[in-house]
Amino acid sequence: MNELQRLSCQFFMVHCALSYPTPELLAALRKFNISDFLSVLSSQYPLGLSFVTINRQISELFAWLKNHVCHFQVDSWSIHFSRSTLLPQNHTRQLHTSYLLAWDKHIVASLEEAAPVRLAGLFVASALHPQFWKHSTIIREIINWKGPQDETTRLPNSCFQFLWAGEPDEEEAPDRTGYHKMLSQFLNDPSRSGPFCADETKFTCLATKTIQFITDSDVETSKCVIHSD
Amino acid sequence: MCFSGMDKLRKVVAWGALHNSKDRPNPPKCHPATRGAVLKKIMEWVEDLDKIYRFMWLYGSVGVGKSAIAHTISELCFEMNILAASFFFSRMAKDCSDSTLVIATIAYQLCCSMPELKLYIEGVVERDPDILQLPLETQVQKLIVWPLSQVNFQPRSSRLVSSRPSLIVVDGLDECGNEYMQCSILGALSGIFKAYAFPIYFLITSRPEPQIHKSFHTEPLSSMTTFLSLDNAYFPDNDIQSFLRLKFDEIKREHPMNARIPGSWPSEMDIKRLVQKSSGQFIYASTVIKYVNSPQHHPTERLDNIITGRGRDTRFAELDALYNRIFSLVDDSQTVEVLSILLFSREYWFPRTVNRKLIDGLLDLKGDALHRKLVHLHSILDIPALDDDKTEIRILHASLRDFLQDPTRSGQCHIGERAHARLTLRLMIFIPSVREEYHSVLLSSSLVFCLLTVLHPMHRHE
Repeated sequence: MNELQRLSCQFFMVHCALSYPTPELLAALRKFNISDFLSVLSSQYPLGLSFVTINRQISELFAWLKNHVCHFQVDSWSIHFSRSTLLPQNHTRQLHTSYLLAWDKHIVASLEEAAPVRLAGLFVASALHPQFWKHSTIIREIINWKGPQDETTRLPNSCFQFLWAGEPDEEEAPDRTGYHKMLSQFLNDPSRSGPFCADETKFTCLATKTIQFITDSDVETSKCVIHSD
Repeated sequence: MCFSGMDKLRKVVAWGALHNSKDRPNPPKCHPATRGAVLKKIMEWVEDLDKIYRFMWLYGSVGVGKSAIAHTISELCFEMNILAASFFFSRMAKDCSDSTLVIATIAYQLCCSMPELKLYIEGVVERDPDILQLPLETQVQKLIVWPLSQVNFQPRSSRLVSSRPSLIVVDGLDECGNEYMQCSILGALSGIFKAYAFPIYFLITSRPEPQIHKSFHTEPLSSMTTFLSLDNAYFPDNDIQSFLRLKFDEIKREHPMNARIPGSWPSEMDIKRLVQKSSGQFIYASTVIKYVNSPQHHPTERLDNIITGRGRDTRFAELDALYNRIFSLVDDSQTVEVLSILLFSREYWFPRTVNRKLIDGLLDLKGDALHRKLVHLHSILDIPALDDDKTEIRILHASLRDFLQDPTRSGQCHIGERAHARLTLRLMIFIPSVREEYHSVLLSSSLVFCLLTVLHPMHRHE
């Protein structure tokens, strides 16, 4: 990846979320392959961005897509800009819907690749907990507790980068809230999250494993999610 | 590898914020024979061994020369071995507007200027590497107050520290982060003197923003601060007049077209008009000089353009008129695009610097195209030589940033949401696809023009 490619991946969402929704920009966004872009962000390319930063940028971009209304005439089909068509005022909402669908598919595909559905589902359900960011390490220990010893079936370290949005007491706390809300809506909607939906069975399983962890392990109870809350 | 406390501290120093940082080439400085009264007032306070006030707040509106004064004082005090530390905020550079780096940067400099503190500061960082993530008040207590108090208890060290450099200059506080962080910094610094009257003093400069004004006029700062306003009491008009005369003399001696400049140029009336238009803002005067001194234009014609120009009746009227005059010569829409890249890069892309190579790549320019686009902007941009494509291109003064981002002032030159949209479209061109082979085939095929036109209709207008 050359410097311009890296620059574009790092800051495309930043500037888009600050943009006026011009007809040219909206036309370009409709043509843009957001699925490919999300794959590039998740890949091994050295972008120099933390996943916290990437997730915040995603949250801001989606908020921009959802909240902006396009009043302008857009001609996306004529090369010579000779005709124009007044599009519905919720033009960017249609864009938001298609981008969200792509994001949902990307998350589900990433989770399915990274770990067994059962384990991954438990971990992402725990991400709804308001203190998840603080206790993510111990949560992984709990989920892995007395699980199969085969490394390939245990939770890998770095596959859940999309769950992180930074600590709530940081300066950019509102951005983190935006991403967390976006993630919550995804996880609470079975039509979107599919097997990773944070339903009652997952929370029951998490509670059971936590009790087992407290009972069996030697760790200090102050580290336990239940006791700290 | 084991890193010492000093190694860890060095990693979080905002090197660009030091008064003599190499990242601050050509910093603003007071021209000789100007600002004498203000500099004298400040040095009287600095050199007063019995000073009551631990803080001096030097404030004034944009362009009156606060940073130039702060830099001049820093240089002077550095030569006199009085300067203990400095931090020059700048919204144009991310680490220089990052409040979380201030205390660590000051602490590091104190290790150098007060070697008696080094052992204690280093020890704190080694024992608690996360200290630099803690709130500012905690950092101040652990990195400044505690080491000073330890030294205070040892008579010999205490005597030594009393003779060490003691002035800490903090320039441009209004350029730091947000209002909350600005007040946090002031609160943290005032906390230094809660228990002991340590032998350090702060010169803080800023615009008179309401939150900063309130902090300085509320305890505990209000009883520890002396105030210095850069208003008309210090006769800025006289200084601006002296500055203009000296600079016009230089132009008559050194300008490539000086053979055609009359000896009587400029007239007394013209100098008076310029002083009046400056309204006490040195930035106006210095920008006028740079504009007039353009090597490609005749100075007398350039000066006539400014003298006959009219501005609206606002605080920045003449400065805006000057900027508008400069931009009126720009007939290339890509020039505004370059300006937006320069503006946004400082705010969003730091620490990446923007040089000719990067801009050429983004805008697909070749040869000296960029220099031709910027030919009229040498009075407001720091543009490296034609053969230098690596040195950063910079906006010279914060007042230009303010002008460009305020649509009521900059009008058609306004850089805002639409500029972000144009830049977004530019960036989208370079986003790689996982299907890279297909992507590169697209780029090399003759279909590229048509596809790009569909994707980015703006190209149709160029």
